[in-house]
Amino acid sequence: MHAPLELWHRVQAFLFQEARLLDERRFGEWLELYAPDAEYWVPYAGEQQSPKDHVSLFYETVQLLRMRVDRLENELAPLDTPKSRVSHFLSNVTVEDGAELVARAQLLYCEYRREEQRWFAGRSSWRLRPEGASFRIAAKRVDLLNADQDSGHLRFTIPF
Amino acid sequence: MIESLVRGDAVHRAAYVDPAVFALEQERIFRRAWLYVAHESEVPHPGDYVLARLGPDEVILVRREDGGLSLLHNRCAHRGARIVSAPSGNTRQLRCPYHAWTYRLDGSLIGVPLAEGYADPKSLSGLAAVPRVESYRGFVFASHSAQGEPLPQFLGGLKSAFDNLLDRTPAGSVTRFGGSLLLEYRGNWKMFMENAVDLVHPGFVHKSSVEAARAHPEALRSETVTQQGAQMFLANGLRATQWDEVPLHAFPGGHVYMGGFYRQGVIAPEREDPVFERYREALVARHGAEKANAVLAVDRFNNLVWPNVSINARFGAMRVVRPLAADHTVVEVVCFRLDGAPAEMHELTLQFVNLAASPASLVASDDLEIFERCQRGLASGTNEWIDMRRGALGDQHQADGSIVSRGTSELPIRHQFETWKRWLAQ
Amino acid sequence: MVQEFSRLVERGRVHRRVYTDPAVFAEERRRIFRRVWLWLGHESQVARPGDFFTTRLAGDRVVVARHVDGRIHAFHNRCSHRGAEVCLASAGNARNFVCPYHAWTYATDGSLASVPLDKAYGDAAKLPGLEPLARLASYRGFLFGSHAKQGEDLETFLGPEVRAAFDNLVDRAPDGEVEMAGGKTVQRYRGNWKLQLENSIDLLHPRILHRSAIDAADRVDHGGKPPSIEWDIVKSNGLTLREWDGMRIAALPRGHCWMGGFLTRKIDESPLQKRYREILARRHGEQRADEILAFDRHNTIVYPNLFVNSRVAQIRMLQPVSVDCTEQHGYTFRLKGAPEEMFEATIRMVNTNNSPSSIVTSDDHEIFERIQHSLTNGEHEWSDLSRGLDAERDAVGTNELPMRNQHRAWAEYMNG
Repeated sequence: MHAPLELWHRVQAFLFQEARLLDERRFGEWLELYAPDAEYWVPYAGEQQSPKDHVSLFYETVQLLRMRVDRLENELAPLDTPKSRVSHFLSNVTVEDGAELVARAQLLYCEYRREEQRWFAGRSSWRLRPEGASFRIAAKRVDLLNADQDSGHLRFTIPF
Repeated sequence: MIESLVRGDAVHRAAYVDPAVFALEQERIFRRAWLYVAHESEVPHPGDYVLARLGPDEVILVRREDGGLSLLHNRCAHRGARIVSAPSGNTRQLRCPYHAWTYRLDGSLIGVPLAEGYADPKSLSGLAAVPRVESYRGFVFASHSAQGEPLPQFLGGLKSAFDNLLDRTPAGSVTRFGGSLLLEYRGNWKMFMENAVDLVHPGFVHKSSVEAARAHPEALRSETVTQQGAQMFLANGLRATQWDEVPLHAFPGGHVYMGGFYRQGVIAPEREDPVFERYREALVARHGAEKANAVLAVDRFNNLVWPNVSINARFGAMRVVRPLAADHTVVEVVCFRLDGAPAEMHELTLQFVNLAASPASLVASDDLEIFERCQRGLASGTNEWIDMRRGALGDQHQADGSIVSRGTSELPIRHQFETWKRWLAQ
Repeated sequence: MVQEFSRLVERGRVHRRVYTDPAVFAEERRRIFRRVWLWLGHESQVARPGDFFTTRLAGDRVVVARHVDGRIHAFHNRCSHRGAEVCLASAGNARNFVCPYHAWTYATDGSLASVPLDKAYGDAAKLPGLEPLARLASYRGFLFGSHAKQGEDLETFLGPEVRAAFDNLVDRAPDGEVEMAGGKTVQRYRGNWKLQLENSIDLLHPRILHRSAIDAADRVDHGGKPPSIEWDIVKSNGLTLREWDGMRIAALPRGHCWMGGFLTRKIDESPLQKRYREILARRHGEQRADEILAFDRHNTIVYPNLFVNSRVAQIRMLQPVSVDCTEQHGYTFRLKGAPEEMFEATIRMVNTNNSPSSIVTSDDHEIFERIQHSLTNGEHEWSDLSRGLDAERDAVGTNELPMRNQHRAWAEYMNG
């Protein structure tokens, strides 16, 4: 069931806020958007059913995400010197309000680092839990168009 | 000429950056040595096939009707088209999509359309087969060269890594599962094989993930997935003296293994939790208690099969390094299920690979970054030689021809280059 | 090979392989760029101990740093252990350089300060530090490096007429000192590096190639205010061909050259310029101030890859990437003691003229790419550079003498 306009608007504002916090490297605030038991998942295969029977690009709990972003803020991480810059673009946002609140969006992700600009495109989806006037992310999944590309991937830095 | 690139104490940078050296490696190593192709569990039934790489070539591993294996070049004998494009499948025959030349599962030609157009259709060729294919306990290796030592001899002292992996399975077999991860970096392939047994770098290169894990002790009390990740990151934070105590063992043929360094929690070699107890019981049922204990006591981390495979028996993970150019490499990471073990063990394997070897890994990503910096740095300056003397004074030569050293020695690099030189020279 | 190169440059024409052959490019690296003095940067980039910046010198990555003792050092950006780059930042301040791989640690003079667990080496003292650049020298604060251990000193290499351009740039600062400031621009084009080098002394092309920009400048209404320097430089491209022909040019030893100034003098009458002249006169006296300001050159070209523009406080450097790809790096300088608006004008001039969004150089780069694209087309193997060949003694502005001079130097280096 599609959500009423007001709810759709609030969810969209919430998703835009998540994108902005990542773009601005405000990782601590970003993680605040997640429920303590949330899962963050970027499958490796298209149509992947489960992170438990197939390898994934990311399959992380909030605590693992926290370590990931702590690491990005650590000057010692060779991976992130010089700092990556990213832009998250979200569009085609839809919200379904059924047994649980599910949001979906198309994602464009642009990363610039050391003379190279990379683009990723894909579909993001969130399971959201209402909390007061806002929400918490219970699960996020990002399916990249080229997740399983044959030539492999150069390393990833800031989450999608 | 090529011998002059390797001295006992240093290696010439051309070994990493020169396209001519890379071409020679392709010819003299990757077209001659035994290379890992695939696992038999990927083609269990007659007609099953899987696409694989053998050096620079694409090949088809096929299970024949008689139960044997064929390894065929994926190239029609007619105009050269790729015969198979699905990564795996089952088929009764191999048929070229271009002009429908059709082949049996052993590669022999069944027929061509309008055969009367040829004066002597019987003289037409079948699919070219790779001259040597052998399986070691289910792991299929092949060589482009018709001559050379048999596979068990080639694997030599490193057979033990495969043996231990099989011994760890309650059912006596492993099954490939879980897909594969591919990581790419703009650096030489040898850097990966050197780094996999370089025990000085983790304290520096992986410091940021060690510190991130230390900052979150609560993760160690969390559910399994988080705990495993936190323990894996922490493990890289051993003190230098502790790294030095991890043994390195180099075998004739260029193979090397390093001892284990996972000591605590869910990643420890033996641990107390219900899943592991169920697993141990199943293993005791197969081997008896004494042997089961001996099997579990083998604590090694990376086992390197020269030239390009790294296998971790405890976690059922394997990495295959595929050189693309002097400065470009792809690494494929695959998983094996310990048949008969509890399903939770398989999840640990997958999570190990996700956390340690995905392009998003907090650990591997730093290694790949370093390889690229080395590749760029090596191109600069007039210094042609890269030092590899660390720890040479402590190498201990064993009666069986192998060499043992302390963990922070550059023995593996010296050893790999000695082997490299031998293969390239002849 | 030597004979082959000597055949590529003839009197009044150049073989297209000079611009298109990757083998020629590789030899240029070796025989020209690895032999001569190349510009690295300016001492103000490393003003304090620990300050450093990274750059490329003939393709090699180089770190320039000021050590605690105040001396400046330049070394290859490559750990002497396994070869990783030790410094990724483009500039900064560091107490030391730590290789991220195994933590070999180097002081800011490049010497090896520490190696973890160094007992594993019999005698750690013999381990090498970062490889120093073969030669490093400074002319009035401008730092040059060379990959060649031997060769003539920097002042001799530059010669009096090139030194005069650096002198004038510094002399224009009332405090007698300039500082690099304002960031840098990088323009990349898909063409050979020599195309830019020639174009910068080609006085026939501006009125023709930059016509659209000139016309746009003509339509600007200043509303009674004095025109800006960035406008002036666009507008001045529209001199008549006769006027361009009257411009002074000079071909110097080693391939260097310069061209006279072509800006209208209108901006000299602006209140800002008057205020600046007064400051300069207070410091140096009227006569000296006039001398300094009378030095009117546009490009002074230091072969093989540097352009000095004293009057607008700008330096540009070419970084050849491959035979058909070149980067042009532009740097601006603040004249210490001059009104800050002077520096702002310099920045605006660069934005308009030498940034990737420039309405002027975009036309130049477009042409370079067309040349590169079509040089290999057809059977004609030679580029013509014979304009004014018979009148070399009394060179006029549109004479192609300086380009022939560049190629003469090219042939000497390549055959030497």
